[in-house]
Amino acid sequence: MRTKGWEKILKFTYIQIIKSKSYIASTVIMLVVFSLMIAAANFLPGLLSSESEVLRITDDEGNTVAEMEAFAIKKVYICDSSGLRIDFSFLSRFEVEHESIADEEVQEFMDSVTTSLEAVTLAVIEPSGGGFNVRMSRPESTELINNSDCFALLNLFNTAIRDSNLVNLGISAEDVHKANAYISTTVNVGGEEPQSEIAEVITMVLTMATSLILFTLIISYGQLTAQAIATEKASRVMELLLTSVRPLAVIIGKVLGTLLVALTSMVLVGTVSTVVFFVFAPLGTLGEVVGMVDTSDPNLTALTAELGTVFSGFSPLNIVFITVIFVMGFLFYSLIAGLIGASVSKIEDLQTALQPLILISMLGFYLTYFSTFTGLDPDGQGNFLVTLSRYFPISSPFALPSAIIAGKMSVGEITLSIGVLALCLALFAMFVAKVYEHIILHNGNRLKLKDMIKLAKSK
Amino acid sequence: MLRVDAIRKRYGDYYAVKQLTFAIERPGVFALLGTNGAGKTTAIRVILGMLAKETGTVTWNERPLDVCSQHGRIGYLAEERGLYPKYNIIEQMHYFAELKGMNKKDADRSIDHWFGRLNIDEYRKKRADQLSKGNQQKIQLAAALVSDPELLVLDEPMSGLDPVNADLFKGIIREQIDNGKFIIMSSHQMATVEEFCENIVILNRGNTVLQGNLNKIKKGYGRVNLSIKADSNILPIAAECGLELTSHTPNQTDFKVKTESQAAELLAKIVAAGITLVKFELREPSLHEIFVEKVGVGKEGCENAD
Repeated sequence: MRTKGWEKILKFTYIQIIKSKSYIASTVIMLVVFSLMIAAANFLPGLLSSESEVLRITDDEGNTVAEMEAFAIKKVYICDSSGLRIDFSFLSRFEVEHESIADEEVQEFMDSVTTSLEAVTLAVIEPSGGGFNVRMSRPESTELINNSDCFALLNLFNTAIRDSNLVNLGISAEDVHKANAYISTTVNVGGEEPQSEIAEVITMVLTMATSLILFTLIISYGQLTAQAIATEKASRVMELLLTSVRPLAVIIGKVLGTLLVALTSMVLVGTVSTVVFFVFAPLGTLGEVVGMVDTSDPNLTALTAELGTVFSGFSPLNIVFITVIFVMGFLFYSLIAGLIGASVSKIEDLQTALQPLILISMLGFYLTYFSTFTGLDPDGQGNFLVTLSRYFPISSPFALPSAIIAGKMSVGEITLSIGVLALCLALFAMFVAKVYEHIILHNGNRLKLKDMIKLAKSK
Repeated sequence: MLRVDAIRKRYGDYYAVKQLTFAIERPGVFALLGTNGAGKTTAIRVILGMLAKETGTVTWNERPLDVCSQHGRIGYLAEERGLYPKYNIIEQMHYFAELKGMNKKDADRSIDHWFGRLNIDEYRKKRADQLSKGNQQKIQLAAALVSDPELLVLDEPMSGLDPVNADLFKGIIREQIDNGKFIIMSSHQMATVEEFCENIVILNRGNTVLQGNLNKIKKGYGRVNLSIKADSNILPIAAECGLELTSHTPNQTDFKVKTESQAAELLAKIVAAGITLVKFELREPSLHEIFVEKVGVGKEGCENAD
């Protein structure tokens, strides 16, 4: 009986918030910002890839053995005074053209390279102190080539000089070639499939974005509960409501009403983000239509495959888990906000009263952020802060969804964490139910926590 | 029938209502009076179940009064008016009607009736903060009456109203009495209370200092107030008769008499002196006078006229 009528309050709260200009404006802004972020995140790789080509290194049979960024230097003039008779034909595999020049031509080519507007360099190889010295000269302008580009090519020269030196020392070219066989390196957690670098980056961005979106929704809409209750108290509507329903029905209706608003926003953000993601994705509709991307490009196909792997984190079970955690996290913070709203008599006191809630939520969010995203424990296993963030009720609503998407928690761990959150929520709801009826018509100074605890203890 | 039996409400060590008992046995207006901070609003909130009581019971037709099960039977006009400032008036009215358990059709019909009766039809689509205080008060009264309640609680219904709207409110209150409604009215306007109320309770700092039937209370005091208007100075004659002067203005002179024979003696002497009398009125004390007497400093003892 104490909760009778909550559904009418929920309905009115939901409709009034949804149709308010402030909600419409803030939702539109939020959707535009998230859409722009997602679109930009999807366009950037395409834009970057158009500027820096990817170079595929193949073996003698034409099989790809490695991929790397193509060299900025397209041609190199080489004056080889080393006496090693170095074979520079390997440069063609890196799509770098080369031309040998004589000692007396060095100055002439030096002048030519210095003023060149093309991606050319001059390399002079000389014996030096029992070893060798390679001097590379680049054009004055750094628009086409900079020092880093030169050092990248010089690394290849170092390898070539060392190989030629070995051949001159009597080791066969075949043996040198065998010794230089490409070695691929990856790191993965024992028992798990190795994840590529790009997949790791996408996963990290996705989990950070999920945490941020949930944090934004929980805190901003949770505060709406406080705002709504404080407004009803300050405008004295509360007295009118209490001739029809009990105080508990008011807070239940308000909290669930704002929860529904938050869920509506979550669905809106999720739907719009997904549509924007797939429209602007590297192989998305728009990219293909405007001819920005080459759908036959195997790199993009690989990227799409990685995205598919990452999005497999959004399985139906995980979506259910995330929704349950969001709802519980929202209820937890919203009940606190509702209690704060009921503790003030004047609307101008509300912002001050909400400060502890904002601090607690920030603490929860940053506990998640620092423990999960700052490399404190990249695998999320065994670190105290990571474990704390996933089981502590003030941070678990933000930490759990990202851990679930990244596949860092087992179903058992997720269930345990949800259980802890549910227990705290139930205990807090009982406290709110006990205190709320006593404070809802309180006028005067803002009630402090110790006053509320005293009320909860009283009969 | 409303029965309030020994309700008590305490905030910490402070008793807002110490012991309040009364009953409204038949339709009409019951007055809950007191100075500011006497405990009237707290008493109303306790009666309506908004605040938990320490002791006592409140029953409506022999059943505990409960806003959840009897919400449609209770109408409340709070002292500090409350409307959502930014929301559309008609939507608020529908919300309040729905909370009272009304369906949309009945709510529409009732809202149409009261908006017409209170001349506020033109404000349906406006926001509350766009209306004057008086019009907001009319909307509040409409909200209190929308479910056609059997028990109506009016906390300072006339405060802030202009004479035209005050008459409009009085007319509606009379209609409600005629329709057999039970009304609890709290007001500082004693003339209004005297106009409507049969029974009263006066609270002072949480204590009941006087309660009972207003006519009986007045009769208990007797006709001790004498008002005279004469063409000549009557003060020397009044002094001879031992009358206590309470006020003297160019229009009227007021005395307190111990017995009615004292007033008769004065009248005889005035006539004998050949003074022309314009007004000679011997009457019971007004509610205002009783109120001021009862809630004076340090007066907490309870009297019951019944």
